[in-house]
Amino acid sequence: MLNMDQQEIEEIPILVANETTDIKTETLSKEKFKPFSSTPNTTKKIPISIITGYLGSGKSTLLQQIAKNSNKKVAIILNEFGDSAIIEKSVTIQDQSESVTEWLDIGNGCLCCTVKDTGVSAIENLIENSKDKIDYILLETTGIADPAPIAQMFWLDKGLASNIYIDSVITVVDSKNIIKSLNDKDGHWHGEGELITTAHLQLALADVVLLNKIDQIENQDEVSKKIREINSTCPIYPTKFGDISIDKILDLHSFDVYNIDIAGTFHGAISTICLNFPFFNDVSQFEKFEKFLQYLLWESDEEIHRTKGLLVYNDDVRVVQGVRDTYEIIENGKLLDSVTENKLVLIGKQLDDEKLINLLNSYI
Amino acid sequence: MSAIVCSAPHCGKETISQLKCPICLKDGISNVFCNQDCFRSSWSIHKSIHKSDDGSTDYNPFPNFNYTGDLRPHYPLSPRRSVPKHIKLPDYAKNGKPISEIKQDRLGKIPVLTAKEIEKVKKTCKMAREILDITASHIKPGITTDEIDEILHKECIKRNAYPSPLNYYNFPKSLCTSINEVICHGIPDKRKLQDGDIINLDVTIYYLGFHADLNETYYVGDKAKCNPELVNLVETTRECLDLAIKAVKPGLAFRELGNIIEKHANENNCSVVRTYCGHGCGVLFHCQPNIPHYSKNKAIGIAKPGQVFTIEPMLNIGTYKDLSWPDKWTAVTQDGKFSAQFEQMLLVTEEGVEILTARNENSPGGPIPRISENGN
Repeated sequence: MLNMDQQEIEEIPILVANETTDIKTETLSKEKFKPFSSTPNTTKKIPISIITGYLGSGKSTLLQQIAKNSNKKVAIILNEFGDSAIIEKSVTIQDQSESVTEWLDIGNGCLCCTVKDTGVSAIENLIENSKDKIDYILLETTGIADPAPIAQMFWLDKGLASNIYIDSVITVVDSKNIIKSLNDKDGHWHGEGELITTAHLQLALADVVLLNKIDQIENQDEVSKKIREINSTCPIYPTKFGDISIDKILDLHSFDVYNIDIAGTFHGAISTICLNFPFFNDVSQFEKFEKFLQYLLWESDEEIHRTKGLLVYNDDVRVVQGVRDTYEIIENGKLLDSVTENKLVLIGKQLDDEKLINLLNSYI
Repeated sequence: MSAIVCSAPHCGKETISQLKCPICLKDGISNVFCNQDCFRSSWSIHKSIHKSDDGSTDYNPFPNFNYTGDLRPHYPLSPRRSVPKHIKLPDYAKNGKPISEIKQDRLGKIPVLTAKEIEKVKKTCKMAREILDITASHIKPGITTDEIDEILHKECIKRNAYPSPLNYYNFPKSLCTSINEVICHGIPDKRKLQDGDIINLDVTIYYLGFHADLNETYYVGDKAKCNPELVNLVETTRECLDLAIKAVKPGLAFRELGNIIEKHANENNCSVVRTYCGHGCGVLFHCQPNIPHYSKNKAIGIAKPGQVFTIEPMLNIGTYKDLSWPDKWTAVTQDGKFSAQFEQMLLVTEEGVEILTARNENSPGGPIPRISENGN
């Protein structure tokens, strides 16, 4: 698998039972050391989209379609990150004409008090060493993966000056099986009480949903409605064989802008609610709001998977983004004309909008 | 005959094998391996204790590496120091894998200690401070970092404590010694300290079922104390830690600490290392919370009474960017300019914070006044 120029040959001795002057050796080939830094030097930032969905939903077909139809040079990483036991990961860099497979250098696998997962550093190093060979990264998770920890891992602090940034989570569903998957008690069931499956989590985290294999069902409204009840912030596109216009799923900037339309508030096992409250009339309310958010995400019993929001005080517009307990309030946001109130959109487990707006008001 | 433990640091199994490394044997050292597979897979680590091919006992193991500053590794390393059987080992001591940490991983909850646990962790921290102080009192031009490692190791064993870095992800020594442009995780070797160096000793011990982690940077000889730029770096780093500690109390969002540290660093023309951060510490060497030292981070959580964690800012004179040596441990600055670090282990109390690894009246090191550039 390795190119010879990446290898070093070394003679190592053969073990002995007793001291000898005649030391026999064997040949050992090992990978050559590449300088390893956790702080990349390239200034261009490469977006990364996480593709999630059950086995058989059509993720792989979609990836091939993107690589074929896009004029971008796309690196496809097929693996489940977050599993520290896996030391070697492969990556395929593909453009319209050719495909090259490389190995990611994961270092010594030590997580010791570093801020980044070794997988993230490995991808940064790949970009650093690829010299403009890559302009987009697609990371395909395994079918059973909860995408939230992976999204958190790649949602890097600005202070880290990384050469990658998370663009969005794309969830591919098999139209024919999604309702069954959402009701599958024996499947990937999470937690006690109310039935929450991995399919719920994959939809909760979605910035865009592809309703794939749409040709195999008669009535897509029922499926769309079911997905809307869980996540009413993301666009849903019906597709077959992953045929989708690239600009609808890539370069969405889902983690740094507020650009969503809410299709309403629902009350299911996992569902979306939207809290509307007046634009701030005092700058101190930003800080008070942040205290509320910290309480909500870190201290309260509420289970929240995704947070998006927009806060306005005069010309000061700030965007709220959150995945589980990680959140960021981003300054210098853009105000859409249609927005006349502050908004906090929450996707989580059995959220009560009345209770939460009262809690919010007690803080601000 | 009692079984012997395989010398491959990632194996750690007892073996009845008679097979030994022939090169070590020539030097009168018996290093037994289960089989050639164990030997082969540990070769890159094991060979660091051998003399060079030409028999040299002070050589640079990576002659082709593009070093960023003047510091070089001085091999061979001394053989791995032994730990007597009666000392309680952390789970990774045998094969290098901290299984309990990996299971918990970075998404785990922040532990809150009981009164009984706090009592124990306080004892461990007090002992760690004592061991650091004794070890640091030997710092002077001419001593090697390996000799410092030996002193620390003996002080640990004497007190029935395990030196936590030893074999953690197969780290070969009992503490980290980081000289000059080394940011952290320097491996003790035959390098002699020189007048004008700065050195950080990062000590962690495992005792009574708890880890205690602290570090300090020391000036070597008087020359370092006369270098205004260097004094500014070391003292600013010390102050950054003190300022951050002052902010700790119940209700503090951990992400605030990075803002405090980076502000003071920038005001004093220093940069803050991003790659390494503070961490929860106790039953596990490293656990939640995660404490980045740079501003605008997304660290999770609010301080609560009973939590134990470290703050350990690393500041550089030049770029904040780091690079690893081919030993895969030593982290140096990319521009070769000097780096300093200070670390304390903290307990959040009802009223505020207690520094569990606080200095004593007689602790070596400590702050010195800055020198203005024109020598006044």
